Order: sequence, then C-alpha cells, then structure tokens
Amino acid sequence: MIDRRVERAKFGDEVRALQAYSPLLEARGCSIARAEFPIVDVLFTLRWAPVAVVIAPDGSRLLHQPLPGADSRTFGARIDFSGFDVLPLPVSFRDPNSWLPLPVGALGGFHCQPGALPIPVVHRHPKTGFPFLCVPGVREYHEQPIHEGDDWLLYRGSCGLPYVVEAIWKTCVMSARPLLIPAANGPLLQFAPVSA
Amino acid sequence: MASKNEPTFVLVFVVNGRDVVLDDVNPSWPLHTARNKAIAKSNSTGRPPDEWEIRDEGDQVLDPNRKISTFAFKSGTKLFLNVRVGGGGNG
Repeated sequence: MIDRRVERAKFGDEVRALQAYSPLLEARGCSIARAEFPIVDVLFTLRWAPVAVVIAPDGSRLLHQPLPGADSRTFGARIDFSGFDVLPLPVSFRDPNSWLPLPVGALGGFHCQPGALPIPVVHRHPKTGFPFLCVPGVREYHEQPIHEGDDWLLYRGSCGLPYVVEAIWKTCVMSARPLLIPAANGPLLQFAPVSA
Repeated sequence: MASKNEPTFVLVFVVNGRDVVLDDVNPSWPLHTARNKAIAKSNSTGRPPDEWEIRDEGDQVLDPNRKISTFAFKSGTKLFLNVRVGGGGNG
C-alpha cells in the first residue's frame, strides 16, 4: 500500500516529465487528453491510413494503395498511476470518444528491429479479455508468469510516463499498418507489422 | 577542459522528462560520451547506457557513435533520451 500523497507527487512529476517531450509529441500526433490523478489519458493518431487488400484468384494477397479519402484513425490509452512506482504503469486501450475499452482486434502493435522478425506485442489479456501491451516497463508485461525473471525493479526509475507513451507510439502507431481484408461477412480489420 | 576565455559548448539532454545540462561538452567526443554523462548525472542508472535512444527535436534518431561536431548542433541544443522499447513476445 502506497501513501496516496506519494502517488500524487509521482503523478505530478511524471506528467510534467511527459510535457517536457512536447516537441516530439506534437511531431507524432500524440496529445494528453486528460491528466487528473490518478489517470492520464493520451490520444494517438495512427500513422497509416487503412490499406485495402484484394485476394487474387490463386489466393495470394495483393495490397492496394491506401483508401482514398480514408481518415487516419485515433485511439486512446489510459494510464493509471495507482501503485506507481512500486508497480509499473498499466496501459488500457480506449475508444477516443467514449473512453470505453477497445475490443481485441481494434488495435495492433509490433516490436520491429532491423534484421529481425517483428514481434507482436498487443495480445488478448487472459483475465480481462481486452487487448494489452506486452513490453517491458508496462505492468501487464511484468504480471505475466512467463516474464517472472524480468523483474520490474530492473526498470524502475527509467520507465515512467514518457517511456510508456513512447512504447505505445512505437509499437502501435509507428510499427503497425491497418489492412482491410475482404471476407464473406464484410471486411476484416487486421494489423501488419511495418519493419524498421 | 575549456580554458577561461574559450566559449563552452552546452548540450541539454532531456532524461525521463527532466533537463540535464552538460555545460562543458567537447565537440570531438562521440555523442555516446555525452549521453552517458547525462544518464549518470540524472541518476537514471537502472538500464545500461546503450539501451537509451537519442532523438533530436525533429524526432530523428541520432547515431551515438558519431562525433558531436558532425551534427548541426548549436550550443544549448536540446536532445531527448528515452529507454529503447523492448519486445515482449507472447504476453
């Protein structure tokens, strides 16, 4: 249990820290929609407009140009400072208008390194069923039993709010391209990695 | 070390959102030397220095092995440091 005053102090520090990156945030189309303790809501504008996919007669996929006139999509991320920084910051993906949780499939995210295969990092949470961001420094990553050896204390002090916003932007905006795949019941939205 | 009459070259690193001023930068240093000094000065020693990414105000990633003099920096230029995002794998 952390003293609420400590949580509030850290919240203030981290929000000010994120604001120090404002030149980068503006260049990336990121903005703070709300910062009221213990919640920070951030808006992200997807870099890629949806690309329509056509299936050739032999079953192969042909990528078309981005849909003309298609608006770029925006999504929200809610970051909750309860428990920080004894615990890492958790991230939940949100509809940018209602701020309700986004369902699985509404968002993609990949970790892309030059010369390596992209790693998907947005998965269905085994308990909540909603998408979660699985990268070091984010609470949902360190809660997974498979990452037990990669303790949060190895990252504490370096992975605050600016890092988490950077992680979301890099994996879900810079590295994920939305595709519209034709299907019998209507087009499906999928996300493909954009390698570095 | 700069002599009394020579102007000093200043770089400002934003580390975890806080300004870290290096006011005695040698332009012949590779950029990673200044990066490492900024990280140490900020007491952010949780992650190794080579896990930190350097960006300029235009959001361009900078090569830490290049000499500072090869960049178009002016004294007082602000650079942004953030831990490189790692891959999580299968959740």
